[in-house]
Amino acid sequence: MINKFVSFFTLFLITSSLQAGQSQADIEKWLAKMHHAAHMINYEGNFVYGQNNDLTSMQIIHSVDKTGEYERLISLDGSGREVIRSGDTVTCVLPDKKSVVVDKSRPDAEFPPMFPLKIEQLLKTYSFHFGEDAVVAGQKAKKLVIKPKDKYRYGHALWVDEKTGLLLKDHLLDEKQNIVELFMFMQVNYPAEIDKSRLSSKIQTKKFTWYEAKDFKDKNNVNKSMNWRVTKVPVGFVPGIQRHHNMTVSAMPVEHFMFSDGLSSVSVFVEKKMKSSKNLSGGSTMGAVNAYGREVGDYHVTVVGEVPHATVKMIADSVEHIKH
Amino acid sequence: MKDTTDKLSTLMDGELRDPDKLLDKLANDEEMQQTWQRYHLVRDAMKGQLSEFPALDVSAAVRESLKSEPVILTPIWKRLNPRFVMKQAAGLAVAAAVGTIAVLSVQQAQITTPESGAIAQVNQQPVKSQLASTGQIRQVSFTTREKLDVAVESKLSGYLVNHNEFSNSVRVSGVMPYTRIVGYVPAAPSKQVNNDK
Repeated sequence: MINKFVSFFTLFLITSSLQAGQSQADIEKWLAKMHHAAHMINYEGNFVYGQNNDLTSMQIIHSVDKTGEYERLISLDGSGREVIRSGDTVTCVLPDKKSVVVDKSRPDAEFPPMFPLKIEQLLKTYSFHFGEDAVVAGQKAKKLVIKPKDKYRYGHALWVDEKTGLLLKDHLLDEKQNIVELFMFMQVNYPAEIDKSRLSSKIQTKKFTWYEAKDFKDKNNVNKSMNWRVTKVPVGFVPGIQRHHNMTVSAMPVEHFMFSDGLSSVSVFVEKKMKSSKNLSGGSTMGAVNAYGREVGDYHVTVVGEVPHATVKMIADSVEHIKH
Repeated sequence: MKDTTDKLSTLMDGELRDPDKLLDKLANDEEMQQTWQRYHLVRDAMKGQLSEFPALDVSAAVRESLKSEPVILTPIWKRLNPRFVMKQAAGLAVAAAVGTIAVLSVQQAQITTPESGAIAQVNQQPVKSQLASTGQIRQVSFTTREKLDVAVESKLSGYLVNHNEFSNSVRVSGVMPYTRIVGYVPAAPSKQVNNDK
């Protein structure tokens, strides 16, 4: 009940700030509803996830209360992997690697997560229309088709639960309308309450190796003047964060820039080359994610994002050293 | 109930004419208090969003002229979203444990994607020239998974997880980034456990 009111209120805020046409408002309404549902309602179910002509099945249990979001994602394909999100903690249980990874950096400020999309910005690079209504996982679903206006981003076909707004099915499409990544619920429920015990892993992890990420909150590393700049990105991509940070995979601090067009995001990493370190040269792809690496003098640039090859290459090729 | 929530939002905007009655009710009604709390959270979240797209300040005319051309960015780098800023180095430990997911998947993709030949060709050229100039970088093979350097795999995984950490909250669906981690089932698990951390 409360969730519904919050949802209405969110929509009110969004639509009232725009003098938008009816269909534009409609699209925005559905996007907002979808975002809200993903984070702010209880749901559980089984879904398939696919890339590279391969499918895996998973179970998800998501619950929310006034203390935050709780989520358990379980592989059903034998690896036994689980990711458990609980408030500000993310725990990855990886039985196939006998490892548990705990990450505590998720800030409280993210609850509830902000609605990230601005329709005016999106309309510059994507067109939207509604497709034929369908039934997915037994639920009536609204189909929303998002087509990119150039080759620098993927398209989406989204099927959204008409009642709850939960994303039930998602196709990520390349230029030729090939599916590069897909996601689909086979069965979904919306329980009013979810027992907390169901949100923790049952795997015996005592003998596993535990990794715990330090909770870096050193603001000095952010907004520090950057030694590099990105000079060319596809239209619609705007800069997000930029920061210096230390990574376990690199002895030297890495400069990290992020760009987003509202639906897709790209990260640029620049680090000094070490004799001992080896980096990606050229392009590589994993489902929807592409990466491109190249050397610039004594440095190495790596660009990663859920965008086509052309985008990561364009951005990587444009990275320049700033001569102070 | 709907009437009350309407009033709540009016109250939040500071435009309710006679707020006392509603405030009394609010003080005694837990469900209403929760609604009230969430309204504020949502509003804060909405406000937080405003600083996220600094490029929107660019005038419409300029944007129009850039319509189909790639944008040449002037370094704006001024406004940061504190929500993201806090997520420093979050995925690193994940990367350490997850290790080889990303690049091994890449290898498979290169084999199974019909266009792999074309992509590989495009990419081979710069790799060769770099080899010639520095002699340090090893050529990344796109044909077999065994040949891929473990260090390259682990570094790329680290970047990917880090990217996911930061892009997670801007995604419409909260599911995908971690799905990529959970969903990868190695074809030959024994060969791929190479955590030397």
